[in-house]
Amino acid sequence: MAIYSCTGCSFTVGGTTVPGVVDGSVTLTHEAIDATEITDARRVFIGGVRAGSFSGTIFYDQGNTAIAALETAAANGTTVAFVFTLHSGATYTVSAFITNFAPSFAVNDVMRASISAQFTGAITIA
Amino acid sequence: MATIEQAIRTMLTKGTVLSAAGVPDARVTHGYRLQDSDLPAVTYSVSSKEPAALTGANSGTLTINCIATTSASALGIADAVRSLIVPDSYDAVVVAAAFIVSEQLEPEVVGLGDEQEPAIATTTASIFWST
Repeated sequence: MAIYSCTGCSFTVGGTTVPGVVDGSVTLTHEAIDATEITDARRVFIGGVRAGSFSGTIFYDQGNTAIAALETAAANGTTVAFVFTLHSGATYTVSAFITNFAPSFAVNDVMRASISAQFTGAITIA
Repeated sequence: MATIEQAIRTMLTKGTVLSAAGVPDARVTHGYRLQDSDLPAVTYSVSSKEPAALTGANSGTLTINCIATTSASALGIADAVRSLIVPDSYDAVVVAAAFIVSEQLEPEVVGLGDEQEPAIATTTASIFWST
């Protein structure tokens, strides 16, 4: 198997690459529904609904098109089109709501913004 | 390819701020100065260099020593130096953010011969840059 450096990771919003990505993670989830009956000796689960989310940190720059799109989507409650490139040839394409957009500031530091997004609809893995 | 060290020297020697404060460009050196060289002088170094983002951005700690025969002179030069730490493009290196973290003064040591030591005003800054 290959081992990839994170320097190949990136993501786009509406087709524009988000610059200054400090860190991020994409989570795909599948709920497990307990279907155990009283006669079962072991718990039985069936698959429930699937979902996905993203959280990450970027350097905050409102003048950047992609970052402004994230901020606007958070303020307006609209969805944005994400494409996450995990490494060359490995992408997740999905539409998402921005559930959290939080610029932060502190003495002796640069401005960053933490972002959380909830995926909606199918996730295309390629 | 330009380095952050080259860029910092360009930043510090920009215009006539330091020369007006008594430090000719030739006395702005990376890392150290020769023991018998003229004062006042400025030395600088960039440490803790590391990637600050997945691609493109780097961060580090800039340390600038302003060395002069008296504390007052060293502090005056340090004031001039701080006015030069400004985000801009230097030698194709884009210094995106720079801010002062700390300032420190080691006063001169008065004595005879080798006992004498100059005053050193040290300014430390955090810098973020891309090349």
